[in-house]
Amino acid sequence: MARFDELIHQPIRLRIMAALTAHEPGAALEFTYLRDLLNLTDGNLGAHLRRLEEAGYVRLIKTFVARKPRTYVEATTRGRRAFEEHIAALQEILSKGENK
Amino acid sequence: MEVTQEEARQALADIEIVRRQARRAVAYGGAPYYSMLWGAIWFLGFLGSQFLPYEASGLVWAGLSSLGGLLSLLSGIRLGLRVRSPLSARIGLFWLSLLVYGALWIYLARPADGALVSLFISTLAMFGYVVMGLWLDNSFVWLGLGITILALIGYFGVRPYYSLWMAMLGGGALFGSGLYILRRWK
Repeated sequence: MARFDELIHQPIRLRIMAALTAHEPGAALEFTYLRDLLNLTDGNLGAHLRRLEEAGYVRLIKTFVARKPRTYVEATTRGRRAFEEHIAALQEILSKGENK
Repeated sequence: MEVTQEEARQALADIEIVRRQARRAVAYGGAPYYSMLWGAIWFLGFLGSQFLPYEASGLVWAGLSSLGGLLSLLSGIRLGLRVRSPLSARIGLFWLSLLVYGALWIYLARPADGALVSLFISTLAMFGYVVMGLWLDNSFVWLGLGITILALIGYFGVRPYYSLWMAMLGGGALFGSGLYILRRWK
């Protein structure tokens, strides 16, 4: 039975993980790009990323490009695995209902 | 935590929507601008080939291609800052390899027929579109194949007006497809 993840299931975190895992492993999205893609505010995105980072699901990479600070966000292997498990758990919930 | 089937269905739908948006943002992030830019360059360059003397049209092509290459490079760097991915680097290297391959064969073969050179460059660029389409989105495959067929019809069917044909249909198709993608996905 797949593991349902309550931390990921929160709607905004679900969308954050969906955006990050839409790309191949190793891909990292720039913070403001992710914010605009998901229509979030800086504070809102930052708060949810902290929760995901604490769980070890995402990694924040701080760097400088042309002397300007930039933050990139990447889904970790653990985060990708947890997210795939969560999707499988959601599909199980659906299929149980369909088999009744 | 109790999750109903409806909530599960909604969550899966949300995931699919975001994933599609995220992939599309990368696939189409620069594509419409590249297509419109190169469509305009083809239009002007081929018009020059049709109506200007051979050397003058060569200069026009050199200027336009340099400008297009520079703008494409800057746009690629800008896109690369938003999403750092191994795929983006592979796409950049692929286009660079195609450019080197094309330049090498033109240098080695040195064809005297200017129309043949432009047919080669056009179909090579469209081959690039087909490969991009196989990676990212099927619509690029059809665009690449369509313009390749148009280029071949122009070269073999209306040879005296080949450059005019390519300006209107090749450049027009590239520009139009860029505009279409831009409006569709905005």
